[in-house]
Amino acid sequence: MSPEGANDHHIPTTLISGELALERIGYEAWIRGCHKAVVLCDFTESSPALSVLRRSLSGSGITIDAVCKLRSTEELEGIQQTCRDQEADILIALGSGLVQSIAREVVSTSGASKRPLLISILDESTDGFEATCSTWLGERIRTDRNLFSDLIILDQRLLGHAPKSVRSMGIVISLLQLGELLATERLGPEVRALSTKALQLIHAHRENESSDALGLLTATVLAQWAYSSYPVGSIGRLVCLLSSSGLCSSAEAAKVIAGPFIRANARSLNSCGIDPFKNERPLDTVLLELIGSFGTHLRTQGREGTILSLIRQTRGLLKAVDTERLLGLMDQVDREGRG
Amino acid sequence: MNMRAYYRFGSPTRVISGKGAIGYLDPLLTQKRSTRVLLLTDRGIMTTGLDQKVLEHIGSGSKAHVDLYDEVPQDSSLESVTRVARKLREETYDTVIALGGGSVMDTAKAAVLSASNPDLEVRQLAGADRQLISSYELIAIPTTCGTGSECTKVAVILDTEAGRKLLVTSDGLLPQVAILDPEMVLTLPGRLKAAVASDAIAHAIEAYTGLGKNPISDAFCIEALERILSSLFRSIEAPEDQDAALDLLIGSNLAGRAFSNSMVGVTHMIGHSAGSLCHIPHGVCMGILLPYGIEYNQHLIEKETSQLSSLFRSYGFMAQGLAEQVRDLGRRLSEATDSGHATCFHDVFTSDGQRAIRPDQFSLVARLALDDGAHFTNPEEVGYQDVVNILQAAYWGYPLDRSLIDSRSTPVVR
Repeated sequence: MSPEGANDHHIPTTLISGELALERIGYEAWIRGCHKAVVLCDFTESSPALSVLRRSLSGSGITIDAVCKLRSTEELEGIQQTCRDQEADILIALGSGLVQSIAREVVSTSGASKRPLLISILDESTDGFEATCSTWLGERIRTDRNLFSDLIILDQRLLGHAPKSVRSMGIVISLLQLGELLATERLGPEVRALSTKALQLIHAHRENESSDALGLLTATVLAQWAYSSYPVGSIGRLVCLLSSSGLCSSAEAAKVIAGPFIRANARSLNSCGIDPFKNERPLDTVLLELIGSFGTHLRTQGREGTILSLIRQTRGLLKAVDTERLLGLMDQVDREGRG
Repeated sequence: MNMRAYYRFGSPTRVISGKGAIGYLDPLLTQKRSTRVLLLTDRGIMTTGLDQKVLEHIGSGSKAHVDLYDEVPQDSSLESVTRVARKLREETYDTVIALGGGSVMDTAKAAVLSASNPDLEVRQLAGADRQLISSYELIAIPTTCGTGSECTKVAVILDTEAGRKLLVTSDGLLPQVAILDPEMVLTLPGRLKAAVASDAIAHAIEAYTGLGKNPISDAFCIEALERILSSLFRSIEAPEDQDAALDLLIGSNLAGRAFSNSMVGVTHMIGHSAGSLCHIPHGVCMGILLPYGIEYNQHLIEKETSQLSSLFRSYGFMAQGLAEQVRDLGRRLSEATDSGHATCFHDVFTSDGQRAIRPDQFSLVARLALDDGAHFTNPEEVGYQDVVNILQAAYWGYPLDRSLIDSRSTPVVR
């Protein structure tokens, strides 16, 4: 019998989450025989997050041999050289998608006999990119299961201070990506479980000003773990393309795309069999409400038309190089947006 | 409940599931560049012809040489693990395919770990979270749907000489790939399905209600219970139904991955002990003990049991409260299998017609249960007399008399 159609799920990453999660890095490194770390981040060495990380690692026998502050994609080779010079067997990525992408490239091309341990630490504004197996450097996107981090750390001490507008950015993107995922034809068991839980966590913390950042960020990780199992990803690509125009942030782009996208896919969404709150409400309604709830914190006033117009312009440029799926998505958004 | 300050969730085994998933085996061997493969199974599997079905799927692309080893005993033992480990080393295999139930899985996992660490005797592998690395590819193909062993980092090995079971836990035990193909469980008799599914349900409920619970395990528990409750009776009544069989396989796998991260509780504490001392199949113990485990912890897990009770209700279990719903499930399984599924220890017999457990053994079972690691994640503290009370109630099938536990005047002794 042909194996076509079987569900193939593989997330090799371990998630450590909680109040003292950072302290676990020492143990996790020790059991893997690693002890020399290079930290890659996109903020200054005096940042509070880095201080917390230093304090947490100092008692566990791990030395931080270098902190590389990342400014652009051009620094990839320099960081590779630093890791080689320091004989680092741990690379800690703390910060934005660019930091995560560079760290993944460094580890996957290290050439060392033993792959360095890649640890991603989430901060407040994440959209869950830490949980994906992609790199996004300039125009180049690479997706490969070898790019998954070994560990994701979610520590309460690095969270909890950001305004809701910052926290909402990642959630809106995650919700839209979940929408794309749940509108696909077949959902495997792990994806059903992870998506349902992600929606429940987001819903549970939607109105609470002092909401549990751990819960929300866990939701973004679960959403990305679900998303990584499927060859979709057009939403993420479109959002990044729009944000690279400089006219809007990726979250603002997601907010504008959300309505048209979900309306265009309402039928698929409502027949996917996911009912996260067991209240038999249509899934498109649930998603729109959640996106609306978090989207109110993102300012796009007056620019919705500009963003939709940008989608139309970008579509023309993409014809020769991009996927049919992405073009289809843009058509849907454009059509529904006009409607 | 006293939850932990943090949790750790990892489930790194690649899981390929679906009708015809076994077709992935040959491409996998090619991808892993396997050259010498040992197909590990037991005599029971050989009589079903499943070994041949697996072998038919090897060789179209890969150039692997495959040997068959079918001498795994019913209970994975120290001797058999040692034999297989020696064979792996001496005959330079690079890949092991484990085809079978819990015993084959545990033997394969422990043998692979032992062969990778030849300086250690198999007994020395025992212990929690041993930091040992495996140097073999291990592909697990389960032929039952209960333990979830194909994705757990646990192996239980019988030390015949010492008369006890050794528990090994290590990331090095994790298979790299698990293949869940419903064709592999179609020949499973109804009474066995009832028993192994009871084990999977106990994994899901104890992981969901225990101190080690976390959001990801919770999600897997709910999906597992939905799959099992929606398909268990259909699978017993129509064994050829591949969709139902696949649901059971996936459900037990998800429950296994959940408890592998969240651990279990008092039901498993007592079940391990009763199984080990009285040779009662683990799934049978779980089916009998689970309602008592829920009743014992009920006052500390109201929210969780209420959520699970709603889920059970949506599958037609209308009794009041989760413990009674699980009891009702046991009764219905007994009916569906022509009394092949016991609902109390009084109705469990050995192959020579003797009662498998007698009341005069409760004391010994209770003492051994208190040594079980599962008590660390049970919501309520568990003492010797509590275990005896549970065993007495479970022997006759009476609900647990909560007053015996609530009236404890002194703290329990662990």
